[in-house]
Amino acid sequence: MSMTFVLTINGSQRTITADGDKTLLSVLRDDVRLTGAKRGCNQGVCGACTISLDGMPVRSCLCLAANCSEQDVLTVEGLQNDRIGAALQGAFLKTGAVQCGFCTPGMLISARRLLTDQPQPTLDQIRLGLSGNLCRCSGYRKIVDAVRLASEVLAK
Amino acid sequence: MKLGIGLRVPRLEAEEKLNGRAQYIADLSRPGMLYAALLGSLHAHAKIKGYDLSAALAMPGVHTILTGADFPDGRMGAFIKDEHAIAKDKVRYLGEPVAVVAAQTEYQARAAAQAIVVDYEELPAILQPEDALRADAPIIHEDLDRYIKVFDTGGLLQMLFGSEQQIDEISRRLSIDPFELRRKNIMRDTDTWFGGGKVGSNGLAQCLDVLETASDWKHWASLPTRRGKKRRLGVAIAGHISGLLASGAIVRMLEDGTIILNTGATDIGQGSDTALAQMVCEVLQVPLDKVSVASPDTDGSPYNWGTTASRGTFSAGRSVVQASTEVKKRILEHASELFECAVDDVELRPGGKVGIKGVQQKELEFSEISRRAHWAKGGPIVGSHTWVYDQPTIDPKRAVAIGLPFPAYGGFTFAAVVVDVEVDEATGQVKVLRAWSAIDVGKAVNPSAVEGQIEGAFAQGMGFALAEEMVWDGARLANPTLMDYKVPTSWDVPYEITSVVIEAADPDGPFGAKGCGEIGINAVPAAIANAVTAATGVRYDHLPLKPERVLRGMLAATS
Repeated sequence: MSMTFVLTINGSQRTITADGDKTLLSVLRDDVRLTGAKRGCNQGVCGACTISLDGMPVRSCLCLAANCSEQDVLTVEGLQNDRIGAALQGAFLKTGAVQCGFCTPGMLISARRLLTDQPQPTLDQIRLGLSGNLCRCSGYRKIVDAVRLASEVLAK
Repeated sequence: MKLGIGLRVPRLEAEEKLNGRAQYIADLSRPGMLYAALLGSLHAHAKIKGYDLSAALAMPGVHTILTGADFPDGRMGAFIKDEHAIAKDKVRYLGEPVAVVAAQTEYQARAAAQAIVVDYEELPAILQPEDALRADAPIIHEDLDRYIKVFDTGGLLQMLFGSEQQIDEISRRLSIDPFELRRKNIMRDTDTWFGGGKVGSNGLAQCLDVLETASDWKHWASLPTRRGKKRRLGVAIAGHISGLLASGAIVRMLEDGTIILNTGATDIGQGSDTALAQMVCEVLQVPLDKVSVASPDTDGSPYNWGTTASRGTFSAGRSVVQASTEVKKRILEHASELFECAVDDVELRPGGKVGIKGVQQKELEFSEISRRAHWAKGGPIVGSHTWVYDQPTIDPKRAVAIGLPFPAYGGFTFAAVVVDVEVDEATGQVKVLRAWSAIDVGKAVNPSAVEGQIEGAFAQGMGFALAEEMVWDGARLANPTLMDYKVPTSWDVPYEITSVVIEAADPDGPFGAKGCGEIGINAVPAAIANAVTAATGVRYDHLPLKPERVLRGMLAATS
């Protein structure tokens, strides 16, 4: 059944009309045409679809869009206007943490929350904080380095 | 001034990937675009007696459905052309596409695919390679005569898992240090590959030497060991091909003096666009922002056999260097005419300029040269090059005998890996604490990207060694999703992966470079297995080394 609801996406209010069984990921990708969040496994395991919902990283492939009504959605496309997000983007670029890039949007969103909770994380806290986002091509080291670099930049 | 080779520059497309603007195939949307869904075979081997498409065709949004019956008898395949795009008359593996639906939405296409009824007559299947050798084995491919035994060049890590453990076993029985035994027996300098293949450069001995020191191999006994754990180092070495067959490149100078590079090499994240652009920069002495890379397109890109076999840097790279050199030659010719001096007296200057040797003042910008070429003299500057690897490698008769469809491999890369592994005595769990991976890449075009390849390869090899396993239920894969097939996370992979880049320049490679896409994974499972054996005293012949397997081995050894 088609439903109409309001989402705030990267700071802009959007009125969405979509079937009630549509996931937030599908609405973002197919209806709003924000394709930064990726559909990897579509079952909540890989983390490539991670977006921020009222500040919390969630798997958008597991959320029904209509359930997110009136909530704040932040996707990778909105990170450059976010202090922590922009610092992370700069650090990922600098450390060479981007390879195929498919995990990158989800990694950035998870890392943003990590740095919100723990502005000066240890290496192990970073490794644990990113462990819900799979990367198949980097070996994670440069991604961990990037998060650490971002924390240093933000502390200045 | 360093402009190309050896620079740690971010990937050309890194920013797009970081702000979500990068367009992957699934991100594309076009006016009137339809979605396709495939229906896979339910059987490993069956005759297709017929289809009932009526229910599926009547479903909302469905435009058309194609089956094997709609296709002519054209067949495809990398070497043996034996596969139909959509199964025709029979299916030969579970999941083989038997029909494809085109519909308005992805959901509609998938739903309609499920509504297709296929009438199968199931045939006896072959589920193990050994079963295919039996005299009464069912015939899967009717035109059997075209099938000669072909060994895949992939599968190196499986082979090395056996052979590199064997070397360790020999060293144990001879009481020779594993590093020493390998050093005594490895290929060196001018040694040829098996079958007589030419090896352009070989940095394997250096890989071993560097890792022996870096890992403090000789003092393994002084590694601190936690209670209830056993801890040891393990080593393994590997070689791998790098590049073969044909590639090409077109390098064009635009009116404003900037460069566009076009090859058939596809950047799938390994960084080939950036590495190839860096080669253009090196030859033409321009910064990276003066070079654009055109997306590969079979309509407009020069031939590239494939983005595979670690061949992008080596094979496409060589064409890029030659095509760029052609452009350089044209630039110098224009300059010599404008300066009214001999070509030998003009030189490229860093930043896209040309000048007269020994004269500082007079300089021409590339844009001035290119405008002259476009508007007045000679025509726009384009350099192109194609080649196929044709050096004598494998004995041609042998190539025919083993069914190789081509006579020559390209370059060879070499690697050594050392791991520091901890085994839990109570649970059998294996943890990799640290790792060192040394790879002879000939020349690191972009050292940061090379490290990324080495680290990523290590993580994949570690997953293969410790966790990843395809579990079969008859012909069906029982764990086809990431929910059940576990790949390493950031918590599993050690942070301490030390990448060591060895540069034994290959005279056939661009600036001496060889590939680094695959070599890094090969020795990892064997190195981990050798460390586990050193720690437990048990030799394991199956992967993955999951806790239950390791623990059973330890229990069997003590009883």
